[in-house]
Amino acid sequence: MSSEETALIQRLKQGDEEAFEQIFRRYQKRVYNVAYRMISNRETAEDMTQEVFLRVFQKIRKFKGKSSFSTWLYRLTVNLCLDHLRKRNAHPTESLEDIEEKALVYGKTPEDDVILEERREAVQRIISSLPDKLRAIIILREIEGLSYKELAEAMNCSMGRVKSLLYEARMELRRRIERNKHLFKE
Amino acid sequence: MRCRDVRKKLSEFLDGELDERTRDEVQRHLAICGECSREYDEMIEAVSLVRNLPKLDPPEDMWSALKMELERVGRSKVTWGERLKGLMTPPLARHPVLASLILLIVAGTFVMMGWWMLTRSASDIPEIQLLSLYVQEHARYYSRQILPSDPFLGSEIVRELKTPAKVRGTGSSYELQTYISLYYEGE
Repeated sequence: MSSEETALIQRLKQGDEEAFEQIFRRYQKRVYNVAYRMISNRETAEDMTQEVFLRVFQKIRKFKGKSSFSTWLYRLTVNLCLDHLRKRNAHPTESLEDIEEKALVYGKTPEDDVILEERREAVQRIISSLPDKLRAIIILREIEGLSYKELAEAMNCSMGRVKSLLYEARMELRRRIERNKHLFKE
Repeated sequence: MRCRDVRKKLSEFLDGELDERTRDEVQRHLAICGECSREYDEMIEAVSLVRNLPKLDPPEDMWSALKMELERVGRSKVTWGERLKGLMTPPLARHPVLASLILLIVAGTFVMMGWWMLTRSASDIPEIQLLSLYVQEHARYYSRQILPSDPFLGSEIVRELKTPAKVRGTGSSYELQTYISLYYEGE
């Protein structure tokens, strides 16, 4: 953690609103992207981002600096998203049949950018179909680029658990993509 | 290394997290095993698809929305302590310990007074004690038809009865005065 960031956090602990705004602007994109990839809905991702930063403002005094601020923020984000997914009755997980069904529609659009966008959406749906913890570790590792140590802190587990979870998540992702391979071929 | 062991290491191999010896073993195995090699390629492909997803931009107005939400939450989360502080006069608000102490003393005084009044028995009231004593003496004198055997006691009673404060407003003054008259008659 840089000295500038440490100073910002100290100011935030004293209730400095300007420091809070700076922290928000610095991290909002990361939080929003993790929330969106976890939940697959832009509006809910906005709500979750807002909720994460409200919690940051309320809980910053509990942040002791044992991990980096960004890792703490990722943990807060992932935990809130997991809570949200648990509470939500209509789980976003889609069956592979759903994914294939949507693929038939996508196949009819010739423009390259539209196809690219559809492929991305298909990848997002496959991510959404993963079990919650596997989804979280895939997003934090492959999209956010966290190291194994950061993953252990953000997921609140051991390094050994990180390795086995990541292996399981990648194998599951590979299997699901292979089953829908026709969506991703040129 | 067997295929099963190699496959379990593929994820760490991809991230360069294996020690040199294990990494070499996996590499050698992948060079000769088509099945494990294919699985590794598929894993790289799957991971690449996720890694290539674009970063989305959050909406522009998120900060103002958050600020409004912070104000709303701040308003609804005023504690009772803060409300009490708001009611206090400025000097007391600056000394919350002193204010609490004063409040405690006042409340304690009221509680003690109430308790004393509730637990006080009739025999503790001086007028009743005096009346009771006098009735006993009166009965004794008249049953024996004699003058008080203890002149000191008799004069004490009379002296007490003649003190207006002792009998004023008790509701027994008329009765006491009757006994006083009787007492004088007895003498």
